[in-house]
This record gives sequence, C-alpha cells and structure tokens, in this order.
Amino acid sequence: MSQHPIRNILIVGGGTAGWMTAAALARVLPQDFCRIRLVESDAIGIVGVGEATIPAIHDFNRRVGLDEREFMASTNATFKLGIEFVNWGNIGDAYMHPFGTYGRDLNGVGFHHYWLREREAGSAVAFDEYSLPYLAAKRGRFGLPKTEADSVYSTYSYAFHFDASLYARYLRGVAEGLGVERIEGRIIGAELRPEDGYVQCVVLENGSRLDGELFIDCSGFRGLLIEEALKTGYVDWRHWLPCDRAFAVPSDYPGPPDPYTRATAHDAGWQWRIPLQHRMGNGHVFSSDYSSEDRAAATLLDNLEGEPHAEPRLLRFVPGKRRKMWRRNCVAIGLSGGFLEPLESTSIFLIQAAIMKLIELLPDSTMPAPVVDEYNRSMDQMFDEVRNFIILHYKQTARDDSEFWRYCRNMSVPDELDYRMRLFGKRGVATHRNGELFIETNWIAVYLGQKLVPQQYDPRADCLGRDEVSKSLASMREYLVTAAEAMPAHGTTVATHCAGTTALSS
Amino acid sequence: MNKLSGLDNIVIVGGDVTGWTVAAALANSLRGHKCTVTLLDVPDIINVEPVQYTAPSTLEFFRHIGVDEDELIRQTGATLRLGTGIHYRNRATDHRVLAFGKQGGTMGVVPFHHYVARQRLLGFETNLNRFSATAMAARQGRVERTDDPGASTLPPIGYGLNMNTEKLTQLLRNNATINGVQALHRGIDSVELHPASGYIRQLRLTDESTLAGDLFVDCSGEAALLIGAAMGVAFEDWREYLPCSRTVAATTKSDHDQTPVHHIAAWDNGWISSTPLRHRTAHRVLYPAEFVTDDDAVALLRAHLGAFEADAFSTHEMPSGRRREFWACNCVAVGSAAAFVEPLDLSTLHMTQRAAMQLAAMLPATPATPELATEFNRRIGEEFESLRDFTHLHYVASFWRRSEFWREMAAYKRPPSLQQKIDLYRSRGHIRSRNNDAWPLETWVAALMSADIWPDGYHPLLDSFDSQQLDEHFGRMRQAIDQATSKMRPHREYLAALDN
Repeated sequence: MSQHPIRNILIVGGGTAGWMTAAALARVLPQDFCRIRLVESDAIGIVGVGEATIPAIHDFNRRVGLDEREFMASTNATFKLGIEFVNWGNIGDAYMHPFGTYGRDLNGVGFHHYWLREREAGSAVAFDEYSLPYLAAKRGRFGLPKTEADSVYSTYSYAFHFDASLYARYLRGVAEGLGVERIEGRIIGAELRPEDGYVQCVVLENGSRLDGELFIDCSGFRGLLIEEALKTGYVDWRHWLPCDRAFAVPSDYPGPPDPYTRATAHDAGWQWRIPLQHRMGNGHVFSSDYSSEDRAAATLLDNLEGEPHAEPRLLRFVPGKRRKMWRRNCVAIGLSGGFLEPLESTSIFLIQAAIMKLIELLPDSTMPAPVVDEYNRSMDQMFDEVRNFIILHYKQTARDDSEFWRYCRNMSVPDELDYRMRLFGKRGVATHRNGELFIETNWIAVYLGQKLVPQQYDPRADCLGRDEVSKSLASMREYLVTAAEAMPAHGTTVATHCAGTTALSS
Repeated sequence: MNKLSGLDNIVIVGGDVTGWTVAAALANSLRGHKCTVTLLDVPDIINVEPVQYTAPSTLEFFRHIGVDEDELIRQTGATLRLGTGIHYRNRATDHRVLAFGKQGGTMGVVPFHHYVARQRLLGFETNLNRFSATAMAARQGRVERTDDPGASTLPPIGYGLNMNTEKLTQLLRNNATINGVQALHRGIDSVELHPASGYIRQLRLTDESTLAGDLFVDCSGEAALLIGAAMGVAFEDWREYLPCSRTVAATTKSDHDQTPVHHIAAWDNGWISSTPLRHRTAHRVLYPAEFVTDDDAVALLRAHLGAFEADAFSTHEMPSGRRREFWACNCVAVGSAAAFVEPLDLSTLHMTQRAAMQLAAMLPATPATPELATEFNRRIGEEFESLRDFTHLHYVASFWRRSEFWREMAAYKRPPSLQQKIDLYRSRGHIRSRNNDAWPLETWVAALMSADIWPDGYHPLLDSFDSQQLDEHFGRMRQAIDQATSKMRPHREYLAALDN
C-alpha cells in the first residue's frame, strides 16, 4: 500500500465557493488530518452568486452542521417554494417550477397523463393548480413540510432566498471555528513544479509563498490557478445560452416577502426577483449581442417595485465550463469551474455538488488518474445536465417579438435535449439519467409550463372512466387548496422561525 | 379517449413463461382499456429451463400483477435464493456467497466497503461475507424474509425465488386470462409487413386465418420469429466476452443440498452449476463448443453427479448477445429473442420482467412515436450491457486457471465499460454507477470482492481511524449478524411452515 494522505490544502479565494468549501472540508476532515488554509483579500469584492437556492442545499447545510434558524437569521433568509416564470412560453404566460409533486399518480400512471386527458376533454384547470407548493406560494403562505409519508405536507420541499455574501460570512465563522486558517493577501501569481507542472505555491503581493498539496481554485471567473497558471481552457456555450451580462441591484420591498423566486423574461434576457427579509434582490441577465448595457440597466430599473438601493452593478460572464475542472493538483470550484446563469438557482448547488464529489473522491497526494477522471466526468455530466435544463427554457417558446427570442426558438440545441423534448412532446415521457439533479417532476413542470404539450398521453390513463378521472382530479385539487389555505402566512413563519438581525434593526 | 391512441390490438407471440409474463404485465396495466391482448401460443416454443429465477427487485413485478408472495412461493413450489455460491477455485474449500442486499452498515461519509478494503490492506480479517446477514444466513442454509434482521442495525435480507417453470407459467396464464388475454394455438405461416414502413401488418397463421395487431411482442425465444426472421434485426454476438454458449442440463432427485444459493464453479473449460429445488436439484454444465464436445460435457456432468440419479441430459445452444434493437417498428422482442446473457447469475426472468414493465409504460408503437422505441432500447440495452459486464467478472476471477481455455480467455479484451469500472475501483475503491445498471452498488462490490479483485487504496479519510478500534467495531457487527442468523430457520423447515 502506498497512500500519501494530503496534509496541506490551500483554498484560493474566499467568496461563497471558497467558504462553502472550507466549511465542508473542515467539518468532514478530522482536525489532525490535514491543514486547511484559505487565502483571500479584503480588497477584492465577491460576486454574490445565487441568493436563491434549491432544496438540495439542505444536504449541504446538514453536512456542515448548520442550525437552520441561526443561519437563516444571520443571512436575512426567507423560504422558497419554487420559481415563477413569467413571459417565457409567451408574453402573458406564467407558471411555476415548484419544489414538489403534482396531484397523485393513479394505478401507477403519472398524474400528468390524467391531467392531459382532462385537458383534451375540455378542462381548463392549469397544471399548477395541482401543486401544493404553488397553491401555498401564490397565497403567500409557508409552513415547514412534515415527514410523515401519508401527510399531504410531505409532498413538497423548500429552499431559501438569502444574502450570499452573508452566507459566505456565516460559513467563514463556522470554518474558522473548525480550525481553518484565513490568510489575508492579494495573490499575484503561482509557481508550478518544474518536473510535473503541479501547482507548488501561490505568491502573494507581499512576497510570501503559500504551498500546498491540493489547491482549490475558488478565485472566480478569472480562474487564477486553473486558467492563468495551468492554462486549462474553457468551453464556451454562448451559442446555446446567449446571455453574457447581468446587472444586479437591491431595492426596497414593502410588505411581507413572497415565498418564491420570480424570473420574468424581457426582450433580450430575463430579470430575477428574490425577496429577502430586508430587501428585494433584483438582476437583469441579458445578451450583449441583443441589447446595449444602457438599455439593459434601464429595463432593470423600470421593472423594480421599490426604490433601488444603489446603481446597478454590472457582471460580465461567458456561459460554459472549464475544459477540466480538476487538473493535476488543482480543483476549480465555483465560477472558476464554470458558469451557468442562475435561471434555475443552481449556482450554489453546483458549488455544493463539486465539494461533495471532491469529498467522495478525496485523493491522496498522488492524485490517481482514474479518480481525477471520474471527478471530471461526473462534474461534466452535472454541468451538461443543468445547462440542458436551462436551454429548455429558451428553446421551448412561442415568442417572436424580438431578435433575441427569434434566435432562441430557432437555435439548434444539444442532441440529448432535443431527444428529451421530442420524447415528451410525442407521448409525455419525461426521461432523465442516473444521478441527475432534475428528475421527472422538474422536467414536466417546465415542459408543460412552457407549453410543450404532448400529442398523446399514456394510453393506460384511459383505463379509468372519464367521470372517475374528473372526480379524482377535482377532489385532489379541493384537498390541496384546503391544505394550502391551512398553512400559516410566510411572513409569520419567518418572524417566528428565523427573524433576521438586519430586518429587526431596520 | 386518447385521440391518437393507436392501441387496439396487441399480439404476443410465444406461449412459454416469457410470453405469459408479458401478457400478465400488459393485461394488468391495461385493465379497463379497450385494447385487446392476444397471445399466440405457437408450437415448438419450449422453455428448456425447468426453473425460473428472480432477483429481489423483481418481486415488485408480482405485486404489480396482484400476486401475493406467500401464495407465489406455494403455487410455484419455490425455494429461496439469497445469492450465488461461488467456487472459482476448488469446490470444497473456496466458497463465497455473492449475496443480495447490502453489507455492513452506514459509517459516516465513506461507503462501508472502503473500511473493508483498508482492514484487508492492514492484515485484518476481511471476508465480505462476514458483514452480510444475507450471506451468513445463506452459508448456514437458513432463510428469512425480513427488512429488519437484527435490532434495526443490519440491512434487510435480500432474496429471490427459484420457481418451477411449468407452475409459474400456469400461474401467469391464469392471471393474464382472468384479465382478458385470449390465447390462440396456431403456428405462424408468414409475417406480412407494410411495404413502405416495414411495420408488421398481420400474421398469416397455419390454419390460413390472419391475426392483425398494432403491436407485436416477440417472445418466441431464440427463434426470434418476428424480430429476427421477419424484420431482419441483427443479433450482436457477445461470445468474445461470454464464450460458454452450450449447456448440458439435468436434474437429480437429490435433496441433500438445501442451501438457499445457486452454486457456480469454474472447471477447465467453463462452468458447472447447481440450484437446490424443493425435491430435486437442477444442474448444468456451461461450455464453449470449440473446446468441448457435447459428449464430453455430458460425461463431466455425469461424473460430477456421482451416485445421484439424473433424469435425461439435455444439451442446448444459446449464445450470449443482444439484438441490435429490441423494439423495431411495431415489434418488440422480450426474453431471449431480445438478448441473452450466460446464466451464471440467473437474470433471464428478471430481465424479462423489467422489459415487460418498461414496455407497458412506453405504449403505443406507432410510426408517429419512434422516440418511445429509442427510449425503450436505451434503457433495456444499458441494463443488458451492465449484466454482460457483471457476468464477465466471473471470468476475470477465474483467469488463474491453467487450462488452454482459461489462458485464451485471459488474453481476450474486456468490455471497455467494465475495464473502466475495474480501474477506478482498483485505484481507490470507488464504484462508478452507470445509467440503468442492472445491479446496485453493493452487489458490484460483493462481486468484485468475491472475484478477489481488491482496491489498492481506500478513501484517505479512513487514515484517521484507529484500525484496532475498527476491528472491534467489526467484531460487534459480526456478532449481531451471527445472532440474527442463528434465529433464522433452516431453508427446508421455513418452506414447510409456509406451506401449512
């Protein structure tokens, strides 16, 4: 046996990705196992990615051992039951991608097939109306789910809206408490080992050198190690995801926060609306090929509900991924590994998935090739899958009111996505692959929400009589509406569960 | 009514256990639907297997068709199978059980088998069987069907069933017939295809009548009357990975062996296997035609059986491989018309049931929906390939043998997907799971470790564990397993109690 455990890990960059990585590694690796240091500079601002999350974040928080009330209070967090998409399939359309199931399967046949059957018979009840999280969200209600499998309150999940920079700060506290050593300093370069090109150390402005056996590059878009030092290369996906800029601005927000994210399509991109306890997070993601920056900023400001707190801040990005997210002794996590627009709130998830995969495949200092290959294969698959899911929102549209939308609806999409859209469009089969984040329900929500209505439903849905199906659906809906109305107001749950420090003082 | 349904008549060709499995699955799925299901019981489709085997996951199938498990065991005269007893080297001494179900327990973030791999590298006892209540029960000839074998600390007992083919076929036939399936006893004279689309229009039967349908399910076994003979879909040969295409089979009136496992042992030119049934034992020798004559194989089996009196010895040729497409136009092949994998792990019925359930979820078969065929082919194809890789592992385990056959096999290439799996596992003990893997991760681990393929490393986090303490923890686990298995009943006694 020749295993040489890693004794020295250096995390480069202290944004959301850096501190999430530090906190998770420090929690999982015993303290005497390995030294974990993180180098960052107070002079460099962090790109607060995310703000809106998906339910998978519970796994991460649990793994790190966060107390939900405390972390929510510290980050001014609210609860999230889904994402409402406005003007996507067409101008005037709205649907939700909720964190939960629809209706109930009958005789082992998926609920959506019965909904399609009812629709064909003339019913006009929207698919959303059979989703408990949707019904609760639109009523401004939120209660914590229950675990009893026979309870209707076990059929949904939730995530958070939070201030990502506060989340990073909170995790920094956790990480430092677990022994992570923070080093203040601006990095000016890196040195590679001449014999094999492994990263040997990073060099700080003050001349000091920080060595390590494993380097985790959380330096953001520029990819200080993975790109500037190791020249790994980047795969550009702009032909599928033409948006490459975003303006972000917080604004006032009177009234109780909504328990859902909203994504409103504009004529060259879309605008996010993320209700926190103390403010509204807003942003306009757009394509520089189809809109000037001035126009994009104006669109954002025109569509705010309250006064902006600042000038909109511009972010530039190229949608895509690093050619290899793990190269030699350097793993790129966060924006240095790849960037996908936050349309499905996946930024923090992709960080989390990278961290968990790294822990699962934790190498020793020999960096075994099969292990590195497996990591890269898994992360590539994860990025490709999320990318395809986001592309679906642009491709599946009837909009032709702008050059941008005409491009999107006519563009060719990855083969796998094209195949999945055809399979669903023909006969309502929502397929997904082993280990993917988005499962059948998620795909169905977006397919149907954007009017990809199957030409045919599962013939097995015809086994029940017409009246029986109508009655079942009507009673399901009635039951769900009653359940939604019995939930407490979201504002009340936030106030009793996790009222934030900032919100209380302001 | 589904305006584009295209599902009025389904025709199943073949009246053995495969055909009736599909008939029961479709009839139960379509209960209340206007679609009719006809089973054409063509002559000469005989299932040469006297026994049908299932894996744990396929008990789901019987729930779907509404058959109670106890009733199933009684009616088919079933015995339980907790895994495969493997004797790669010497039948008497080298005996391991590749057991169904999980081993060990949950121990933090690192999967259990890494601990086993590390203890082995440090020289501690690491027989994987000692960490599986299923395997230990099997070794002692004891059985139990329970999700909680011991104080909620042990994983559930995994088991499949060995069922009498004739009785199972009868049960499925009754089930399908009650749910409206009509059986016709005729032969096929010819298959009439649409000249333009290649879809099957109708079958001309030997009594000069015709049988039309929207969907034809080919369950005619290796004859592949529709998918092969009529549609011309090619068969992809897998003998380069699984060369033993010939079988000699016999059953003996012996009931000395009541272990709830299927035994396989490597011999100079292939495999020899046995499965204990209620009152008999089924035996078979698997061998490649290039190396062994049928007479020699019969002689070998006869010698192996010794004093036990065998019924007739039957020989049979069945190459491993898959149809390029299982679903082509409106014809879907299920069973050995679709694919066959050397029966070392007895997965034939398991795969038939999987395919039948997938088919029920992918109807109809019209020119407007070729994507359904693509999806079905993708899912079932991946599963068969995974099964092929899994079965090939038994070969990898036996390459040490010095006969010409094994030397030649060792020089063969391995399926690339298996090679990748082995490389990653060898490197640090990780298992890559594939889409539609035929078996769960823990079964792969059991197979790799049973095959004496061990990782050269393990998860580095384990270096922070005290190996002595870990060994003590393992000791307690073994104790819990022994305690649980000692309370289980002997296989035969258990079945007798179930019968009363």
